[in-house]
Amino acid sequence: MLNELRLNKKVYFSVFIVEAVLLALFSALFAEVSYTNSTLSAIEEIDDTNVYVNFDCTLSEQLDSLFENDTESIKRGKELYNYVAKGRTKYSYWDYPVGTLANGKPFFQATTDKYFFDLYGIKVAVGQNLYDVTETKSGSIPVVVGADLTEKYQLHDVFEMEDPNTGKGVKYEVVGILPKGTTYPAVYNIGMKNSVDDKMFRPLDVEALNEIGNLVMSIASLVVFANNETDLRKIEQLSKDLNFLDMSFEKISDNTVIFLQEGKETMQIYALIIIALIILAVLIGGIAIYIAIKKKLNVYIVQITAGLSLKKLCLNIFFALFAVNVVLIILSLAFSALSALLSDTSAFNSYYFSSSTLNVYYYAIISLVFLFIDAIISLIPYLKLRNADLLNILRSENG
Amino acid sequence: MADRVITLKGATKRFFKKGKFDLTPLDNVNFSVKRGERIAIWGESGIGKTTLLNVIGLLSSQTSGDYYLNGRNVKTFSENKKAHLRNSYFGYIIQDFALVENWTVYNNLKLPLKNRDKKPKNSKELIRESLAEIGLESKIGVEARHLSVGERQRIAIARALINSPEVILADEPTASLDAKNKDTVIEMFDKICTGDKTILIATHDDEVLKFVNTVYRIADGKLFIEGR
Repeated sequence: MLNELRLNKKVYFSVFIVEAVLLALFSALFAEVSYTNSTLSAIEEIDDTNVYVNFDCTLSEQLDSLFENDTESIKRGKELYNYVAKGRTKYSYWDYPVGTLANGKPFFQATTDKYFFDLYGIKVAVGQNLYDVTETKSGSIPVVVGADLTEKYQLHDVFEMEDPNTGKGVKYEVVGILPKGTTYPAVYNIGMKNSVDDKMFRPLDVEALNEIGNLVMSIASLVVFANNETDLRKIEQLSKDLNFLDMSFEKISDNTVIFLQEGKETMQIYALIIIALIILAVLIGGIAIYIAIKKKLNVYIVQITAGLSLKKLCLNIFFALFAVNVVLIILSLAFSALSALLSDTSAFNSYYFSSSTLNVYYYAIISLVFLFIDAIISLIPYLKLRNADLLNILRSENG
Repeated sequence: MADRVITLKGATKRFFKKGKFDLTPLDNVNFSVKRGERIAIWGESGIGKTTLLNVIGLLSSQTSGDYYLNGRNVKTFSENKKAHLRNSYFGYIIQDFALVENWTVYNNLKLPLKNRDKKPKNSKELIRESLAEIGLESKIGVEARHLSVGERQRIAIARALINSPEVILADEPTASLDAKNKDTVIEMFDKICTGDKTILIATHDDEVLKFVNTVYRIADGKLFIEGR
């Protein structure tokens, strides 16, 4: 193998360059495929159900009036909320930016129901799940935090923060930390996923509904799962009758069909591009090896006369190509790790380790692709020489 | 049969071109070689002498017919067995020497040693001894392209003999040599081919014929005995 590498240094260097370009293209493609796949799976999570999202149309004058007469509004709001909650599958979700992370990006305080966590399978990596906590030791409101927030809050930390709904200072206790990279589908933006990394979640409890701001948000941000559209119209009508919010539920699963179709078509295009790239790499690598064999034919034939079998010659080429792949993959891994370290010094935090920085699947797939390419290319000498009149070729090469 | 090293029975070799048989350099050839024989395959250029050596030297297979090596049909040999025989049983001396030009003499001679089933521990010593026999010990680190024609041919012979083969196949060994080098090479062959060593030389050089005991002529794919 080393002799083979030495013999055709330039060829294997060209193969290295071709495969490096292929690796870069694959990397970009893989990111696209993962993204598309992830958005498709996000849609599929909510596609089986008739999902209705409230696109609230309440005018600001109406909201002002609700806040001015908050005691009366809470009464009407609770009647509406209880009507929606009775026998229906639903969740509310809303968030507010409450601070800034070290990288300058904002982080959010989100309020949501237990069903939100159940539906999207969001569970903590460390500590307790939000709705498993009935009471904190400190008597504070329990929160679970996304991985990015671990730079500020650690498990069991108790801290005070202004409630964005009321403007009052409230004590919170961190009861759990969510794993890095956890996402949930964005129901207002089909095909997108939202990250939990930059969020802290507090529970939507009955206490919260005693405050008009929370009550308005919990109704305005309703996501209802229903089989009967008439039922949604009833909720809208009741809200109107109670003079609460101007609600308008829209079914989102209609849009998902189109999006799924487009997504699948995109995936097919990616598959075709990948196949085209593999063919291109085989062609370029194959041509390079073919030229090398033609140029060094005398050396190969001399080796064959000296007892080298064609099988061993092919294996030598295969292992030389394999060595090129290994070097390339090691360099690529080192480059990925280095860029991860440079972009995020806490990359080795356990919450971060599941991130795409070291994507095992990607390297497994690219290694298989390279092995496939190597196998095809290393068959070329066999095809070229198996029936050749070796001594005559050697004579003409030397002549 | 026992002392017959090589036996061809109805051996035919055809070459394809555009899916059709285009050339038949060996046509139903019957031929046998006894151990220790010195044989010349004589004929014009391009007539099929090298093809015959290719088949005998297990570098290619006959299209039809049988080839027995020491009484065993080579069709039963695996590719590895054939490679092993090419390495240790046959020694090839090729026209224009077929040295790897940008390799040193040492690396050229090492090639057959590297492909041995059991790699010798004392490769360097073996190579030195081999070079000493042909008087070129000082050239061990010199690249083949810097050698004279005579030196190259001697190195090529040394390489063919380094694994002590039983059969030497020489393809036009004197074709590119002047009279002086030609004599040296024939003298070397004479020295090498003692005892049981068998040699087959494809040639169209009358000078070489003086060295052999049997001459075969090849024409139209057929092999005729020309003289003993």
